[in-house]
Amino acid sequence: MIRTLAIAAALAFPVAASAVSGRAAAPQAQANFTATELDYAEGGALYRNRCLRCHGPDGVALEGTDIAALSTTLSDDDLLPVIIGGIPETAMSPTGLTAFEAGTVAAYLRFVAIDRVTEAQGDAARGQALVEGRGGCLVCHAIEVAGGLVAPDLSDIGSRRRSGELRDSLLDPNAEVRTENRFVDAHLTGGTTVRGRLLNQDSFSVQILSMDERLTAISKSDLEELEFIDSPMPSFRDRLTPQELNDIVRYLTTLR
Amino acid sequence: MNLRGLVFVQIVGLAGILATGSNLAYGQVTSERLLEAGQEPRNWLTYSGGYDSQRHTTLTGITPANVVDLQLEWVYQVRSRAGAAEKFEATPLVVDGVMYTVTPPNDLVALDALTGRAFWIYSHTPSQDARVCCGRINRGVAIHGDTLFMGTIDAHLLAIDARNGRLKWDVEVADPALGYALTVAPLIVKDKVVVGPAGGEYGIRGFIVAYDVETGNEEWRFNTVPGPGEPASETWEREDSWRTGGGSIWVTGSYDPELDLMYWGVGNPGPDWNGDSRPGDNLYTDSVVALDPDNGELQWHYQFTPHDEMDYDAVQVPVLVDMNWRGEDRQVMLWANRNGLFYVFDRTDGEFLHGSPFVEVNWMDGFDENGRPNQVLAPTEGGTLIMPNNQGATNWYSPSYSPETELFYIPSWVDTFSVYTKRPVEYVEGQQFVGAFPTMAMPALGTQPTNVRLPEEGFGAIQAVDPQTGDIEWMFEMTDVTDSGVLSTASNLVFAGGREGYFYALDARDGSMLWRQSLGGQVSAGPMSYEVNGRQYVAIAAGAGLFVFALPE
Amino acid sequence: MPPVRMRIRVIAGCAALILTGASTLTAQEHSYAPADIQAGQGLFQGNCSGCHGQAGDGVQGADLSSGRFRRGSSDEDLIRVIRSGIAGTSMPPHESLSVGDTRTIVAFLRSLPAGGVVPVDDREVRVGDAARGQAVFEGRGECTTCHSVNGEGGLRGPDLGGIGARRSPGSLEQSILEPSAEIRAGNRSYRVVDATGATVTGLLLNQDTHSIQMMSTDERLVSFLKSELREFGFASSPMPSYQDELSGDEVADLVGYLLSLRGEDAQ
Repeated sequence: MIRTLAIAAALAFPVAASAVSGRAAAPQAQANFTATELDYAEGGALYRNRCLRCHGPDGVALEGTDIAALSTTLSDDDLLPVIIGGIPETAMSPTGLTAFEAGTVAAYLRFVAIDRVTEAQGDAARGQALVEGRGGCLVCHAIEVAGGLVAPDLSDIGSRRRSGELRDSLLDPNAEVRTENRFVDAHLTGGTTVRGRLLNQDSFSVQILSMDERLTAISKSDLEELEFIDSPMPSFRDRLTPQELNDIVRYLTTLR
Repeated sequence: MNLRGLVFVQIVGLAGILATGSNLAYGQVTSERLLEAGQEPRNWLTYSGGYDSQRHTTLTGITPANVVDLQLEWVYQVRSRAGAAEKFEATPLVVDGVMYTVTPPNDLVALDALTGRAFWIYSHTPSQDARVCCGRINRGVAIHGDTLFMGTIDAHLLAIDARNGRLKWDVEVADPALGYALTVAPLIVKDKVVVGPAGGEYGIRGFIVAYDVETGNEEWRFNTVPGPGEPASETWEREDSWRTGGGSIWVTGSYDPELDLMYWGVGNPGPDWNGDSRPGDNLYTDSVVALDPDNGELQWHYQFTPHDEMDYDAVQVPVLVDMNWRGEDRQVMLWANRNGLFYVFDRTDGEFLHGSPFVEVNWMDGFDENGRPNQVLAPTEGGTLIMPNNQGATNWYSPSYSPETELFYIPSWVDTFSVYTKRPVEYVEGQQFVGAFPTMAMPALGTQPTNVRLPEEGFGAIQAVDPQTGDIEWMFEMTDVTDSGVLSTASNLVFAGGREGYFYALDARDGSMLWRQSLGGQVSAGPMSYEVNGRQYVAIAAGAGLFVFALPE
Repeated sequence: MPPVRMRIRVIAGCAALILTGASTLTAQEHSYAPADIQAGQGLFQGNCSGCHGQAGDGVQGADLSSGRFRRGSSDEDLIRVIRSGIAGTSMPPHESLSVGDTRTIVAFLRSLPAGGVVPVDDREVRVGDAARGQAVFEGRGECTTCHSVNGEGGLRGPDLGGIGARRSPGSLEQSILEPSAEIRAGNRSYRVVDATGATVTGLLLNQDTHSIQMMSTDERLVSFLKSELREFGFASSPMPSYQDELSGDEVADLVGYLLSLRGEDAQ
């Protein structure tokens, strides 16, 4: 009588949409669970409240103890008991965090480590040249007044994204697409297709910013299918050297 | 000052000349008139149009054949600064040509039902102490005699003279600084006005309370969360968890004069999304309670979602129907719950007759013989995907029952889900007491007008359910969800809207769309109908306006 | 029927003031009895003259004797400024002054030479015994037929529950003796005659180009489409003059009673 749902299949959807595990493949290998965005935010908040006073914002304030770097070499099984229980006879006292809370702190630390490495290796000036030149980013993205309209404006992306997240977006643009950046192919009954960013829709019409940057409204009565498609942004995994990737990330973090 | 063009007439002495105009058949709204509200369909005397709360009109001027000609008669724009971003949830009352409604936050206005022009406006300025989880909401007023009753978001109940908008009495129902608020349209039963407080997100302890309509004296109080020594207190196993147990009241109940029973739906337990601090079933949260209106004593109850951690408030309007149910004449109560299930009860004693899902449901997989759900999913530390989502399969939006089609119409959020994550939560007076907010694909309307959701994130619909079987007879789908109530008519029309701002007339028999009008703001209220001078009107609030439609004269 | 002759008193010297700019236009809404002006002078000496000087010209840039007020022109504006003060200046709020008392201060300010006011009414206002006044109010005066005090009484006239806090002795006496002389915008009477010749009178609540909303004298909310009316327009106050109905002593007592009503509506 009860219509049940294939839980596993359905569960895959929102977690894929909100999880950030794909961004940081290596350190996540040590994590016991898949951390969500909420967890990173929570971990960051817990870190600032409970850890920052001794360990500093980057986790290196205590000489010889770089906890961000440590977090990438330790598994959760080794790391969480320390975060929760402290280290006897040192200044690291027990925090009393739950296992889950400690896990979010660990996830946050791993992010700090990645960000640090990425930022240190990049050169912003070279990155800017790539973004404006060979990378072709401004075909779709705008930075200040220059660039395209269809993709998200990057003028202040550095204040909204950590370097690790930027790097992941460049390598795997579809891993996390914000709801306002969804692209569609609108297949019209006449056989033509309009591709663009979905701006709005209701029961009778669809509003799209087409790839040629026109505000386009389509009546659903003229629409055969509205197909949600992958991000038109290509992966730069094979298009850029690791150094070039770091340069672009470094540049993007300066946009605030 | 220019006085030219005005006609001056002199009236001698004090003697007034009795009014004789055709729309002046005015009388006090006595308790008897409220009992027989169905006998005067030109008026709309209670929140749901009558004590049975069917939200059904026997006016038949507007029909499936002529509804295509329905046109806008007038609009009343609210004067709140927040404008169309603020929800306008009130259902108006109409009494003999005068309409009474509440615009945000607590402005009670008397309008000419024919033209929409204001007679008077009573403005209540809520205290800065008011806490509002979900907007400065008011769902409307009640009337008794010449007195209107309005709850306020700072938890006062006001009695206001319907003739001139003057305050008669004002009682503080509870302390707004602790999160208590009144958003419900009061219910009049006999000589009492009955309300309860919202605030389920603030760790309140809920109650239903009755005041004398004349004096404002408190007559009785029923605690929706029992304290030590009260019946059902054993369902709050941990000491003191009842003190912040929730059980809010924010949608108007119904009344059966023959059984002399009043029915109210009760809100979620507190804290919302982590029940570890309140082991037990947590009665009477997420329940329907049947009370004796003379003393507030509980006659029966049914709990839809025991020990709820999904915020499935049972704040739906109880719809009372006398019908032949599966071969037997019964006095039933129809109930589509936020938890995704449609229920039929025998309202004389609360017997559970039927329960079945009307959308995708995965948190339970069946009922035991007493109607208790078998729960299979709950929030976890790692997150659990649960259907329906946190806003529910339906919510406070008024359903409708048509005795003509014998169908029950439900404003539905179809096949939605939330990921519920369990987090520690601590009670601090006056602050939200909830836990981690579940994920939601459909945020409330804000400054961004966009709907860019994926089809698999759910959609809105008006669904017609056969109360005999729970089967969905038809479904009118909308791309966005709906917070609209439903009105059905004896001429086989169904009126409803949605967040997209459309207002629809559907064929009550098959759900086909017969007429639609874009109103430019979300419909977040119930439609109602009335008649002035033999002409039928349909009213709906949307965005920052109250819109009234009629056929061309 | 003869039209009511509206008494609109234009401030002497108004034309000259208009020339000095819109913000200095002084809008006088009331006539002021000498008793009010005198009472206001006393309050001014006690509360204001410390800063503003005996003649009102003690603060540079805020010469109250000039008849020009920077923070508003109507009586209501001035009352608000006096009672609320002016944030960011040394003008403090004077919340302890009632609206009625403040109104007498405004009367005094208006009476200063440059204020342009010529008192039009040199009646002496006597304030009698409140208890005897209440007996008149509820008895021979039949005031409760139309007026309510704190919820008791008729609805078609204004509620008088807080009238003593809002009005001065002079204006109260004038309203009793000459009800149509000054009617506040919210208290205007209206009369319509429909196509059948039936007449409805009452309090005008609202109107637009096409319709009229009133509370009829039998206390019902009624609305009319102008296109369906034979005749419509403002009417004089249905309140009778008590000039010849009550003795001078009774009027004084009534004023005393009304002044004592500072109840729920007192601001």
